[in-house]
Amino acid sequence: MAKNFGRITETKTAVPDVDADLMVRLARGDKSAARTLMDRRLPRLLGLARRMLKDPIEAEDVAQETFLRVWKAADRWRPGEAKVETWMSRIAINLCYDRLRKKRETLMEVLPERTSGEPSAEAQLGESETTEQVIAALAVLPDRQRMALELCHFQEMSNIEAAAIMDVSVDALESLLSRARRKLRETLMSQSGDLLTGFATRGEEG
Amino acid sequence: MDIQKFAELLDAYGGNTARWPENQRGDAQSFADDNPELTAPLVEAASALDHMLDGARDIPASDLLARRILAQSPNPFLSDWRQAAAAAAAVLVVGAMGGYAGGSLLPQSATDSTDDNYADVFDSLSADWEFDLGGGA
Repeated sequence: MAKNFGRITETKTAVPDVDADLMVRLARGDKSAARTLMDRRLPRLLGLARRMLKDPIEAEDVAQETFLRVWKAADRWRPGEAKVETWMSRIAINLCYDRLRKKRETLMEVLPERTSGEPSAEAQLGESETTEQVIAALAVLPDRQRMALELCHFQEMSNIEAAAIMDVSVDALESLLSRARRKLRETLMSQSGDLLTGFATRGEEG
Repeated sequence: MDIQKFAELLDAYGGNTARWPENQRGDAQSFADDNPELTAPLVEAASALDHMLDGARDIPASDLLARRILAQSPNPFLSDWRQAAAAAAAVLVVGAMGGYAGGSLLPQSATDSTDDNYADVFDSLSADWEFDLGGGA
């Protein structure tokens, strides 16, 4: 366990796979296990897909497709191979990656380049204003910067894992991360008073 | 490790050491312990951004999406394709046997007069209709 310095905190620890038992029950067709797994993992998968794809409808499609693949593979899942949460995240990331690639190919046929996306009107539905501001700031990042941040920050992958997935060097990954965080700082810190107040209020409510 | 390298790592990976490259954590830790006045403000700024990002980690799902996902979850008795195939085969066998057995139980008669009796009932109808039509004229 690494010791803490300053305000840097170590939160990544080896924990048992809390979803392992659910997968065994799922393989037997236990509907309550399906509901528990969905309640536990859907918001995070939806967040992942939403941040990567910038489109709430596409994000829902990816989340649904991820669970469909989990349902189908439940009887082949074996404990100890990979944490269920990690496995599900990988499925969702691959699905998002495929969609981004197809979208990029389509856009390149129609437009010379597109560096930013605008959140749709539906994006406002059902989400807090503070979350929406962060999502909007992430949405204007170039795809590769957003992907690097998604893998390293939100999915907490190591730099080596993330670089391998993105097929770039670790140095290139760090450059993408730095540029992403710099841009986010510029965007979000100007709204930081409102944002921090919003998160603090939500924390008290939760 | 110097302040420039420390700042670069913080800039890329944020204020949580869990996200830092493993081979840099020890050196960074020592440097921060020795230079808190230099590192603390940088760590604080990076952690503030982390905090904002973490607020957008989860997004609540709609009831409709939850229902769509659950509707596709495995069924208790058909969770395995082999079970599904066995169940389908069993249905076919039982159906075939039932059909065979049921057919053999039906009464069979070579001199079935039902059709003749049924036709005889209508023989007098034409006369009745002639009577009615005439009476109404």
